[in-house]
Amino acid sequence: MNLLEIIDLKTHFPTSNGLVKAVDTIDMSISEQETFGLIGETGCGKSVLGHSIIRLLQSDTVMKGKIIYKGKNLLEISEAEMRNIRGEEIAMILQNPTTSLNPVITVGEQIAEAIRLHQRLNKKDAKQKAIEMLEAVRIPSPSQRANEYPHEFSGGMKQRVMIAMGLACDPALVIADEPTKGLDVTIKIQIVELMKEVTAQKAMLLITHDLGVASEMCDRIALMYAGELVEYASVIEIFENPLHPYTIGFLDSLPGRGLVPIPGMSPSLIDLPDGCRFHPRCSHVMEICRQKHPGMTEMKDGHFVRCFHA
Amino acid sequence: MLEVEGLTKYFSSGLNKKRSVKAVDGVSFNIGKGKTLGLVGESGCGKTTVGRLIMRLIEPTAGKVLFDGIDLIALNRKELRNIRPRMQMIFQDPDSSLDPRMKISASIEEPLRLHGTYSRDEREQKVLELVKIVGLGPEHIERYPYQLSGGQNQRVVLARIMAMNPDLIIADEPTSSLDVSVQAQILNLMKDMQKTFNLSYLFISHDLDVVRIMADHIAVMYLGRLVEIGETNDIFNSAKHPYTQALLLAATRLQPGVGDGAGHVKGIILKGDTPSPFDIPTGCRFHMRCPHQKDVCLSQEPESFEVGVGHYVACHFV
Repeated sequence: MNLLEIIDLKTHFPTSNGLVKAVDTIDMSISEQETFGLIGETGCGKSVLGHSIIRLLQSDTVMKGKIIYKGKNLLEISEAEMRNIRGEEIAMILQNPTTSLNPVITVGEQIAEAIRLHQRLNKKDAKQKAIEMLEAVRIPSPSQRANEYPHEFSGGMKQRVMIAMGLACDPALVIADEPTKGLDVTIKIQIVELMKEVTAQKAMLLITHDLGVASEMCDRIALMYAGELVEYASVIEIFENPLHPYTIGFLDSLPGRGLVPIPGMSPSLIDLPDGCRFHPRCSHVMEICRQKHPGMTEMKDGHFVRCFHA
Repeated sequence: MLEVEGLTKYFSSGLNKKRSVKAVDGVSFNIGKGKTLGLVGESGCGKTTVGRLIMRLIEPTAGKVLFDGIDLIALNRKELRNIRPRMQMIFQDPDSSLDPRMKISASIEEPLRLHGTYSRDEREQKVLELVKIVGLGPEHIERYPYQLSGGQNQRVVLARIMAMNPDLIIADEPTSSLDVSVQAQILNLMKDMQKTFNLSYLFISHDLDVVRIMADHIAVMYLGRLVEIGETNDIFNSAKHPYTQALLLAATRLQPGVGDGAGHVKGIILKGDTPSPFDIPTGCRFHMRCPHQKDVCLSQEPESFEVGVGHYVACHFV
């Protein structure tokens, strides 16, 4: 069953340079307990999509379409209702824990604060729950570490705290935005293992540019380019049978897979190319690609691609 | 081209209680003409400090750096200035490596003006040549850095470097702020430049996949020391140090693809964090995270010895 369904979503920001079409028509769904990977390069709109789901965007943002979570359209409910959903139903694990944690409040209090916002617990019980969460994310001597400040934690430990905070209210859906960014490889693998374990019973949207982390954690993967999804399928299909030229180019440009770059660069989200958004960089470009915008087509069971050539 | 021997740098910090950080502690390696040494390690291991010490941007506490037979540490400021054009450095963040108020043409021309004896027309000509080498066009040179992408700015940085006609380039994480498709462009460019101009590279990175492609030899650094050094193939196929093995395992597991392909890789997922360089463990620096830890590791720092041709490992149990 679908836990989250996104239909025709557009998220646009008005700026003095023009309208930034950060998310420009996205359709996707996440079922219960599924880990869905959203892959894309800087500025493709992947983080904005994540923030759109929990409506954490500046007030002048224009959002159209539907985000249906457990039968409710999140774009139509009131801010007060949304506040109840954030953290409790849908939680976010942010990148860059150093700037996401409050430097002057102890780690234990910060987690307890999130718990007390949603659950009727007194301070003492909330603190106890926070310590349990720290233990769940494998922080050694949690009752002692709960009284320490973020600067006393290493980068990997801070990321564990972020995970503990995100999971504190036992949400059904976790949105993780680059949870392993900036971590060393030996720490990264620890965090990947931990996230796999603690989110096994939850649905997760994993936003990342790191295909290695995604292939280790996800059931399905979607590639995002210039504000829209260009391909999605199971992890195996994406790696063994990629169809979109962008997906193929992305895979080929990896150091372990040939280091063949994609010529050119991603378009500006203010001034998107006509026709297929990838056509200026595509080696299979045909006349139709310059004129018509391709729709999403199911090529085989659950494997969708947006390309005239595929 | 470059010989580094026993390079050491202690930083001291604190006003009252002086504490010293052993950032780099007795590092030795060589880089041949036209060759690349990949220096690999995690944040805080001292790899960037090694690069800066070689350039003498900071003064070493001890050790020798021979560049083309010249002892860099013994040079005075004037002699150093004369030799610096031959060794250049490229950094992680291209946007902060360029002056935001200077046009691209002016940025590339600047080193020619400061170090060369070219006339104005010659310099203009040279700028166009350099821009072509790094794969940019004449249309780019009248712009400012903010009008170019990160990848294009990194090309501009490379053009500035090539203006000096260097023999050695120290590249400190040159692609870690770039997207993979752009990273591939810059790495390919660096490889082409190396072939054409017979450059030597010290390629500092935390990314084993990238280093594997770029480097002829790899040195693995942990808490200020080299734990293993050898040919790229030897490091990837028969790593001996438990830290190198753990790095390889993590990197292989996190390789994009289905099935982790890590079955043949020895090593374990390390527990815990790298200890603080303020407080370096006694004996072997890696012993607290090492799966093979024995008594001798706690008391004695292992010497580095040769296990194969040019393959050195610092561990009591290889």
